[in-house]
Amino acid sequence: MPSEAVMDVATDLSERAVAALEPRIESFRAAVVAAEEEVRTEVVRRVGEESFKTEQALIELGPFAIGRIDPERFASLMGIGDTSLTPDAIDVLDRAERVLKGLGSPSVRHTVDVEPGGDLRDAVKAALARFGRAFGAARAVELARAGAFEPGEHGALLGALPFRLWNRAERRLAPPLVVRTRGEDCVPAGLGEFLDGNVALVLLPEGPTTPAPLARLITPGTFVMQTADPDDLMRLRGTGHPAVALLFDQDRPGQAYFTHDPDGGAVPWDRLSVVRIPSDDDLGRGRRASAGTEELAHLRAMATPATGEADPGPSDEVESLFGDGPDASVDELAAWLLSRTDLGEE
Amino acid sequence: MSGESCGLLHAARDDDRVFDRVDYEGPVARWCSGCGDHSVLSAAQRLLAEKQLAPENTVFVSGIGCSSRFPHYMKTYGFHGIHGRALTIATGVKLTRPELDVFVVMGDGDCISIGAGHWVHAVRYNVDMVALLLDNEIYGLTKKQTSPTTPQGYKSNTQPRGSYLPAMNPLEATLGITNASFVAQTAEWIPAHLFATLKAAYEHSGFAFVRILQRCPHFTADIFGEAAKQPDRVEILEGPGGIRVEALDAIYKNKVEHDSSDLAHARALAQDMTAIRLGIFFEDESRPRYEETRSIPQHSAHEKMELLEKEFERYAV
Amino acid sequence: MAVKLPTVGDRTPTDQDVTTYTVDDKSVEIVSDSGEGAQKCGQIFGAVSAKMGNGVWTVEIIPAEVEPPPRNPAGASGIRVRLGSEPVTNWGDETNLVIAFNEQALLGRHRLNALADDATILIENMWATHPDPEIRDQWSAAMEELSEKDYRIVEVPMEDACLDVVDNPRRGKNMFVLGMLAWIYDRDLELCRAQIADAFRKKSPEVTERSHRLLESGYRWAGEHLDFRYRIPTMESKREMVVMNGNEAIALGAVAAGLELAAMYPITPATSVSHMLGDVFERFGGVVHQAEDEIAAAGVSIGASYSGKCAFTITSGPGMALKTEFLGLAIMTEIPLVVVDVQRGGPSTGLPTKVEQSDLLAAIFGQPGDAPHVVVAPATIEECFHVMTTARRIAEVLRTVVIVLSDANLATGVAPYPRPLLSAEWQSTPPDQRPIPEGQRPYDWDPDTGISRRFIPGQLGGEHTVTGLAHDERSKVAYDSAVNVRASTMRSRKLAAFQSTLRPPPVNGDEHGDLLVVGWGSTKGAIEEAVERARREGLAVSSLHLTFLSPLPPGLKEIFSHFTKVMTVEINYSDELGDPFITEQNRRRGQLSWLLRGATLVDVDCWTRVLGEPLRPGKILGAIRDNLPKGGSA
Ligand SMILES: Cc1ncc(C[n+]2csc(CCOP(=O)(O)OP(=O)(O)O)c2C)c(N)n1
Ligand SMILES: [Mg+2]
Repeated sequence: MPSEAVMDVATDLSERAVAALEPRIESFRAAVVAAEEEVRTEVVRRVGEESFKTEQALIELGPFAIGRIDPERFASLMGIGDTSLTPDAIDVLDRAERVLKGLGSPSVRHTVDVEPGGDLRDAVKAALARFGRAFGAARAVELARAGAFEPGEHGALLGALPFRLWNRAERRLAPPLVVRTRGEDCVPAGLGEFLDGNVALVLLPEGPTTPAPLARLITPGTFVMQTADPDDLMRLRGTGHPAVALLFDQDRPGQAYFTHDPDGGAVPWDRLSVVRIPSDDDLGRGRRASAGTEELAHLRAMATPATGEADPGPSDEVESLFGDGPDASVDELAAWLLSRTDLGEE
Repeated sequence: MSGESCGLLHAARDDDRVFDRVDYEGPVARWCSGCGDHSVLSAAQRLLAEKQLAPENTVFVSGIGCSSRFPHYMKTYGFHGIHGRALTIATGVKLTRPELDVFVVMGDGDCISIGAGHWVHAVRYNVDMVALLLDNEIYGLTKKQTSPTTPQGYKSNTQPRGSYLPAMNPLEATLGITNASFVAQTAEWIPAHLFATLKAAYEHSGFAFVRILQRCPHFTADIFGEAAKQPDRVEILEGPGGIRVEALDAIYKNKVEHDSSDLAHARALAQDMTAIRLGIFFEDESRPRYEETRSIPQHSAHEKMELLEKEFERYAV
Repeated sequence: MAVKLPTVGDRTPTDQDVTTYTVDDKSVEIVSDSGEGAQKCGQIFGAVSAKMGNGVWTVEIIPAEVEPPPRNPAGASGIRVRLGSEPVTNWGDETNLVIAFNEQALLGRHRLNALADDATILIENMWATHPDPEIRDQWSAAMEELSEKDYRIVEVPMEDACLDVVDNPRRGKNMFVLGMLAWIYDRDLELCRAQIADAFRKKSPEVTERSHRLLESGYRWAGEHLDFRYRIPTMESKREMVVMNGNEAIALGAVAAGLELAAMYPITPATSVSHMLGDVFERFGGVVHQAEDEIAAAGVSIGASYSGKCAFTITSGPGMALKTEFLGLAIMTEIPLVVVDVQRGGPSTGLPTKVEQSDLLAAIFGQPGDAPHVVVAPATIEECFHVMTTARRIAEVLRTVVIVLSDANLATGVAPYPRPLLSAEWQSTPPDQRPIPEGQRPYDWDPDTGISRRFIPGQLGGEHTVTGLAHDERSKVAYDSAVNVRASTMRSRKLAAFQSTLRPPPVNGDEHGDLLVVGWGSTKGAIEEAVERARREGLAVSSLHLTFLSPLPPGLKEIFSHFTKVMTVEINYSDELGDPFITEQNRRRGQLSWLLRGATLVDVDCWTRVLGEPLRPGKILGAIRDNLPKGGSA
């Protein structure tokens, strides 16, 4: 059991992580709230009494119309040709609105705890799927408004929507998460599939981990950071890329500190700024140490400039060439550089 | 090219669709058989598929003329406007909805005669869109009247003894307009070149003006109809910033070396109307774009009303 | 008769010598060569008076020539300020008090019959003793000419007096004049100082400071030398007021209405709207586009409206002519559009700076083909603000063009009105981007109202091409009779449906009587003032003011039937019976009277003038007296 003091440190760190993610949290929430307002207005309008429409016409026409235009009659001209919604569709809107309202509340927490013995990836997946209800609700609204909502086929949209099913635009609106782990369970290799769009994950281990758990998540388009300084998390605000950061609860000799920023340059060694890569000696022994050796080798390979190559230019196309491990990455980089020599083909 | 698509409900509609050329095909085009407009239509549909443009976010605007029927044959949004004024409508669309992809289709009478004023200014505004001039050197729809680009001496129903004046040179004129950022010429009877040019025009950020030499089998068959049979009359511009279509090398052997950033050389090349020169004459993406020079803040209705209250302070007594 | 008042050094009038007249209504003019600051002086005077609780209407006097030579009757430039103890709705009749910087500018006003026969004139007298003999001669000749009338002329050594406080009296004489006016009308000096500071806030503090000294000096001079003052009772106003001209009101109204794009090409007297918008619109997220011509301005606004924003374009007569084809397109494609026409005198370039109401029929019927749309005319500066919200909403609900007819009188008149209570609901919602359900068509005309739902680019499933060619519900080009009849009917039905929401206009005065005066647009204030005066004389006259000109409101025929005679009063041309060749049948009538005769089959007469100036209530009163049916109650 962690002592009380340790608990306090953890709470403090997770609060700071949430603070660093604030703009992303806000923009997700703003999108949810805006959608919720739009849906609510529509529901009210649809089920509202005629007098509501008259009131609306009166306001929208403004003072110039007073005494000149009969608002009740004018109201009857408004909304003609608008899709009329069936009671079932209105019901879908109503339910979706409640989902959105719940997720738009400022009290919604973006912090996730990995249960003892639980799996980091599963915890993240479940949390994202819960937030995904917002996207599911929005889709249900769109279907209902278009008269295409089939309860059998689409009913699940109002439940959870797994990340796998989020589309490009939804991924760009993704909510950020702060994930608390114990340390030994901080095995983020499986998180790669979530690093897309605007996803930002901050991992907070409450104990020792391997030296560079995030090394394997580095791809040219992903912002990846390991640090023990909570202030560094503010850098997450500046990046427009999917991001994952690991904030150690304390400084230990075997931890690697680095930042991989996609905007840093075209080649890995320009994007990667290393504060510390521990020597293999710092790792101690055992299973963790041998995993660590591999991670560090990967990091070192990326941090070392390949010699004798010209500036390869923009890196948009390299995305898929990475991620297969350190050796592969260097080889593929070379292959890619070669491929750029006959640019004239394009 | 996506702007304000940031809402949740909007995101819900992004359905990872994949578009095929047929997804852009409207009803069967009712131009005469042999009309060059068919070829431009196919090239445009191919371009949209290549670029995977969502049909609902793409707008084709045209004026009046045979060529201006174009939007009707596309399955995108379209605006078949009035004679000569397509560019003004397109400017309005793009100024308010920059995230939409806008293409403008005009005839030679449409653009160079009645719409000449708008053409000059649209080039200068340099608003991001693709403008296609389908130049058959005659008024097609109204049945063979002289157009500004009709060759001197060419007989028409309005000038039966032949056009009195030298033809207007749309390339030279466009290249002379301040702030022109993309000027190209292609021919509809060379589909590969046409496609490559449209693609370059689309990829250009700014106002891309493309003059497309277009056959009219009825009224000017002896102009481009003949030219199409004589590849040796065609000269292809090649060089830095240009387009390169290898497949054409076997047929079109005349090449002109040209750097598309060289405006003076572009003007010199454009001057000679006897040669049929195809390619990108000029491109400069650094030219100011009208819509970008005006950064428009976004405000909610309530914020606007607060600002308006402040404005009223100035008038309060 | 020129009365020479004691000048500096003579006996100072004591308080007992000063007579204070209490009046309800007073018009003041300040006239000068252009560039001498008369307008600034009048604006500050007007603003101070409004703040003190007087009704105020100010209007600039614009010289007939662009760069007139100095000291020339054609160059008279300046401002008229009409004050009242109640709200002032128009520029009034002749001027009662004139302050002239030179006798030639004064002559210009005299020759235009702008001055009341018994007007009091305060005039700079340095010209009388000018070293240039020619100027001295001009002065004497002018005094001779002015003596035709019973003016009371008071010579004031303005520049001389200014020299006491400043080195160069040429600059700042207008503030001395403001001081004189402040004394004559007993204006609050603190308010004057504050208003001056505000007017010169963009200049160096010295300018304000010098102006304050000149103000005090003028005030002192008047107190020492004049023997008359005026008191215009003020009224309590609980509501906060704002003061501006009609063009400024339209500009702010456009912002309030949530219009998002204004496209225009400069043209008097509409231009100042775009100046104002250029200043403020972008801060609200709007775009002001100065197009290459009026046609392009219409095209750009239609393109913007088509894209789901609501746009407007603003112009004057010549520009309206150019936009005509585009208006037809907007009506045919059913794209909402607000068009503001600030009318000037016409035809052609006409009278660019002067008021006329002669675009009415062109606005309603001026588009080739049958092109039903809405035409509405604000009557006051306050309405210029509010009309924009209503116009926009109508344009969007009906998917059609709404033309707002303002004019040079509203454009340049400045008056206070209650500060609007703004509503965020006037603003636009973002473009509708909901997918279009299967089977819906871009012109699914509701058979009862002709209204259909607008499809906007970006809406999935709504892809279609709008066209100015005849088209069916799917927007497919169709030349067959059935479609053309149906589409024409549907476009017209929208107007009928809208007409059914209009209420009959209220009659000003009794609902029965001898004469009903019908007006529209900016003449409302002058007409109602004239009717008020006529009724006080015991004449059985009422008036009716039309706001919607297309469609016309219901009930007109019924209202007309309660009067022996119906007559429009308008600022546009009509033949006079008695003119050569003119008969009852071939007479070309005022434009509203054409319209009303056609709509009601009532024999509506007209009284119209094209003087290039707003109607004067006194003149309308004269017309009312002249046109009362024989055997009336008077
Ligand atoms: C204001 C106006 N003037 C004239 C016309 C008649 N008109 C329609 S198309 C056209 C010329 C068409 O020639 P062009 O623009 O070269 O197009 P093409 O038919 O050759 O493709 C003319 C004069 C019109 N529709 N509107
Ligand atoms: Mg042509």
